[in-house]
Amino acid sequence: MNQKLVNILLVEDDEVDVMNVKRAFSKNNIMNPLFVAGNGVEALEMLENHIIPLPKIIILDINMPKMNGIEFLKIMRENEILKNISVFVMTTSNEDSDKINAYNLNVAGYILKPLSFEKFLTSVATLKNFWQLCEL
Amino acid sequence: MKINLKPENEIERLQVLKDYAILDSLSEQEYDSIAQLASFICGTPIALVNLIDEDRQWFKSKVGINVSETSRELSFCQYTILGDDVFEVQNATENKLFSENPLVTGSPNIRFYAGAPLRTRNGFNMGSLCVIDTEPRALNVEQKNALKLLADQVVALLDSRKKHLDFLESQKEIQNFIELSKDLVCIANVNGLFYKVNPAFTKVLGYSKEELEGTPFIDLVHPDDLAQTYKEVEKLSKGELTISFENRYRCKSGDYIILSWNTSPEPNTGNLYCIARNVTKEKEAEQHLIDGNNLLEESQHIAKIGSWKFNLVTNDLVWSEGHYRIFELDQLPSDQLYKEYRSRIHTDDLVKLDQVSEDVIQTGKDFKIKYRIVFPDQRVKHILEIGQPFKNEKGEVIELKGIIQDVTEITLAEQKIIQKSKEIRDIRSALDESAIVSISDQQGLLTYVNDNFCSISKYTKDELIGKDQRTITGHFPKAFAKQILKTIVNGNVWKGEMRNLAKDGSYYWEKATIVPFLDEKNKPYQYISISTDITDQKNAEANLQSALLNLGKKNNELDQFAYVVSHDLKAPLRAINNLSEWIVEDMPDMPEAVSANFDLLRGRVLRMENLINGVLEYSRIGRTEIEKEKIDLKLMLNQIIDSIVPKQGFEITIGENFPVIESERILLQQVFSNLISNAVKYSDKPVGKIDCQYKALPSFHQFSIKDNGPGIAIEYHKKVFKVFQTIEARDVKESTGIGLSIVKKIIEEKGGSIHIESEENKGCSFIFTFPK
Amino acid sequence: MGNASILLVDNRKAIIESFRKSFSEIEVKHTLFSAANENEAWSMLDGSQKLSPVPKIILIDVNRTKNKGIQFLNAIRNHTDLKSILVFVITDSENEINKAAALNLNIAGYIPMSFESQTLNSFVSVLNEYWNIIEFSSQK
Repeated sequence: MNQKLVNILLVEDDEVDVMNVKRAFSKNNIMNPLFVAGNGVEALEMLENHIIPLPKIIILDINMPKMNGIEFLKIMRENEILKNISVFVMTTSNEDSDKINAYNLNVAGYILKPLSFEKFLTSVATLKNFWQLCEL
Repeated sequence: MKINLKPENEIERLQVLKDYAILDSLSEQEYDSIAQLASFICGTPIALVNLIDEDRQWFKSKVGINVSETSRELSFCQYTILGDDVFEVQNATENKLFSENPLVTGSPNIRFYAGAPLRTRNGFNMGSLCVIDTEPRALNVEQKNALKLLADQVVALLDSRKKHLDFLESQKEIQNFIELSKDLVCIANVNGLFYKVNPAFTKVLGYSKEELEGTPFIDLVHPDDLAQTYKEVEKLSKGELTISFENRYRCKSGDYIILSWNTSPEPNTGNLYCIARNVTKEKEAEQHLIDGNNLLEESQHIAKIGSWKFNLVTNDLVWSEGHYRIFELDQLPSDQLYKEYRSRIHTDDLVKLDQVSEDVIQTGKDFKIKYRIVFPDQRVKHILEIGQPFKNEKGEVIELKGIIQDVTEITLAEQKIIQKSKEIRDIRSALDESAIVSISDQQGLLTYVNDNFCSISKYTKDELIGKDQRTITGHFPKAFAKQILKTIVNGNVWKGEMRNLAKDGSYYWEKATIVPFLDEKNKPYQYISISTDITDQKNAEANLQSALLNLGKKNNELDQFAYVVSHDLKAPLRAINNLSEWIVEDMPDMPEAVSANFDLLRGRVLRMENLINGVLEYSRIGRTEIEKEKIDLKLMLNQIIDSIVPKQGFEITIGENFPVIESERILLQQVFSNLISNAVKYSDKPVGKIDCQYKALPSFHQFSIKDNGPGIAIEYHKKVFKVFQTIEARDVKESTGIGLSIVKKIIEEKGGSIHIESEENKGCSFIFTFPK
Repeated sequence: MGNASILLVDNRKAIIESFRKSFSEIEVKHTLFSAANENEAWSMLDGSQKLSPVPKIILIDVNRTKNKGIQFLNAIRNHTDLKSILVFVITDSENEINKAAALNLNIAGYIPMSFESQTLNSFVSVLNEYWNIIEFSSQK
C-alpha cells in the first residue's frame, strides 16, 4: 500500500463542484493534498510554472471556460514532464465524443458526475480504493 | 435456089437436136462405121452422117470428104429432112434445085445424092444419112432400104447416146447432190462399216473421207447410244426403215454432235443408204425450248401465275398448269373447263366478271379484274386477272387471252396493312394527345413536333421543323449528351430525365424515351422522342430535397440545443441539490421544519432533473435512426422486470408466446420499462400483479401490460398520454408526467397505437401495437 | 458502464484460472478473455483471432516476459484503433524492471498484486467497482 500521499490537482470551474470534491474527499478520509485550478489555462500555468508541486493525479472536468478539459489534456500529453500524470475525468458530459477523445488521450478513467451527493461519495470511495491499489 | 426451107416444127426440131448434144461432138466410131457401111452398100465414094442445124449442116461422120460442115442453104439434106423417105437426086446438074449449087458446080462436084432422114421417135428429122457420088446414078430398092435402116440405126445410136449422156448428166446431178448436200449422205452396211461418205461428213465430223470409208461407224457413236444404235441396225438388217433415229457421233475434235438418221436398207447386200442431219443445234434449241417452257411453268408456279385462253365463240377455255394449280383443279377438256371455272367464282364477283367481259367485247380494250374464288372447304383465294382481246378479220373479238395471279397473300397483307395503319394512326393520335412527341432525322433535325411539344417549349411548329433539336437540348453537359447520343446511334432506346431549354429561357423537365427507328441495315434513320412533363415533379423533388436538408439541419440544431440546454440546466440543479444537502449536514441542529423544507427543495431539484431528462428524451424520439436488431422479447422483459420490479411484493406473469422480433431495442426497452415501472409505481395492493401478454396480429405485434393497481378512470384514458400530465399531484406521486407521452410518441412514431383498458379500481391494461 | 471485455495476458494457466474463479465469485459482469502470451494477445486484438468488440481493458504483467510486455504495450499505444484501451499492469513480481517504462505509457494503473485466491478476490473486487463507476466509449 502506498503510504506516501500523492498530490492531486483538481481542474474544475464550478465552485459547487469543487466543494463537492472537497467534501467527498473529506468524508472518505482522503488526506491527499488537493490543489484546484479553475480551468485549463490556470492549470497549465500552475503546473508549468511550478506554482504547485507536481501532482500524480489530476481530476479533470471537461466543460470549462477558456480552455476545456480535452484541450488541456492534449497539451499535457505533449509536455515531457506532465505527460505521465494519471488523469481521471470527472464531468457531466455524457457525450461519446468526449469519452473517445479522453480515452484516446489515455485517461485512466472517465466518471460522470452523479446528481446526488451520496452517489458521488460512493464513487470517490471507489476511487480511493483504486488509488490505494496502484503504485504511482 | 437459095431458099431456106424449114420443116414445120423447126423450132422444136432444133431444140430436140440440141438436146441430143451431138453437134460439134467428136467423131465416134459407131457413126463412122455406119457411114462407111452406107458408102459401101450404095457404092458411093462419099457417105455422111449429117445433122442440120439452124444455119448449117454438120457432119458427124464423113467418108470421102474432109469438110465438117457446110452452110445449110447449100445442103441437099435440107430437103431430106422435109420428108420421111429417102430423098434421091440422080443427077444434080439436071435438078433445078441443085444445078446452081456450088457443091455441084464446084467441089466436091456432086452429081448423085441420096439421103435418108434421121427421124426421132417423136417425128423430128435431125439430119440425114446420105451417100453422094460425083457421077449420076440411082439406088436400087435394096440400097434405099439399107440406107433407111442405116439411118434408123444412126437415130438409135443418137438415142442411145443421148440416153447415156442423160444418164451421165443425171448421175452427175445426183453426184453433185450428194457431194454438195449439207446432210451427211453415206452408204454403210449392216456389217458396221462406212462404205462411202459424202463431203458433208468431213465438214461436220471433221474426219477425212479416207478416215471414214471402210471404218466402223460404231466407233464414232457415243457410248451411251451404242445399244440403241445396234438395235436400229438390227432393225435395218431385217428390212425396216430407219426414220429420224438420233444418236451422238464423236467429231474429230472430240466433241459430240447429234445426228438424226433416215436410212433405207437393201437387205440383199446389207447396204444401208443413209442420210443424216446434224440436229445438234436443233436439239439444243429444242432443249432450250423445253427448258424455257419448264422455266415458264416454274415461274408461273412461283409467282402463282397461270395463263388462260378463252374462245368466245366456242366457250373453249384452255389453262396452263399454273392456272390449274391455283384453282386446284385437275386438267379438264376445254369445253368443260369454262363451267368449272365459273362454279369456283364467288357469287358476288360473278356479276362483276360478266360485266367486264361485256365491256371487253364491246370496247376491245385490255382488262384487269380482281375477284374471289371459293373452294369447297370454304377457303377463299383472291385472284387478279388480266386479259387481252383478239379480233378476227371482221374486227370482232373472238378470243381472250391473259394471265391470272393468286394475290391472296398480297390482298390479305394489304388488308392487314390498312388495319395496322389505322391502329397506328389511332395510337399516334392518342400519343399526340397525351405526350410530348418529336421526331428528328439522322442528323438531329426535327421533322415533326406535336402540339404538346410546342406548348411546353414555347416555340411554334415553324420555328422547330427543320431545326436542330439542340435548340432545346444544346445546353446539356457534354457527358450527358454524349451518353444519350451513343445509346441511340447504336440503335438502342434511351430512357431518362432531361432538362430542356424553352424559348423564353426557362427550363422544363421531361421524362423522355428516345427510340431509334432502324432501316434494313439496322442503322437508325430517324429518332422519335416521347416524353412527359415532369417539371412540377422535379421542382417538388428539389423542394423536398432542400426541405429535407433543412429538416436535417434543424434536427441537428435541435439535438445540440436540447443537449446543451439539458446539460446547462442540470448543472445548477446539481449545485442546488448538493448545497442544500450540505447545509442540512452542516447544521445538525436544524429545526425539523427547516430540514423538511430542504427535503422539499431537493425533491423539486430531482424533479427538475427528471423533467429535463424527460424533455430531452421526448425531443429525441423519432429523430435519431436506431439500428434494428434481433430482440428476444421474453429475455428483454425479464431483464427489465429484474431491474425495475422489486423482488418482494410483486407477482409477474409473462405470456409464453413472446416472439423474437427484429426491431429497435432501445425503443421497446423504453416502452416496456415505462409501462412496467408505472405499474410498479402505482401499485396499491399488497401483492402487485403485473401480467405481460403477446398476441400476433396480421401486420402488427400486440402487447399488453396489465396490472391490478388503482386503474384509470375512462375520462382520463386519453389525457394520461399528454406531456407533463400526471394523474395525481406531483406531491402525492412523484412523476414527471412525461413517461406515457414518451411511450405514446415512440409507439406512434413506429406506426403502432396504444390504448388503455381500465376502470377505476379495476386495474389497468395498457395495450399497444408495434408494426411487423 | 456497459459491458466491456477484459483481456488478461498471462502465460500461467493457474493464474488465469484463478482470475476466472474470482471474476465469477465477485460477479464481475465484464467478459474475461485470456491470452497466453503477447503474440496471442495481439492476434486477439488485431489478428486472426480478433475479438469483437475489441476489449476495453487489458490486464498484463510486464515484468514476466522481459520486454515483450513493454513492446506489446508500445504497439498498442501506437495502433490507431487500440491506443485508447485501458491498460492495468498487474504484477506479483518484486522485480520492477519495466515499471518506469510502463508508467511512461499512460497505463491506467500499476498494481502490485498477489494471486492467492483470497487476496486476489479483494483486488478483483476493487477493480470491479472501479470498472463499474467509469464510463466507456461506445467505440467498437
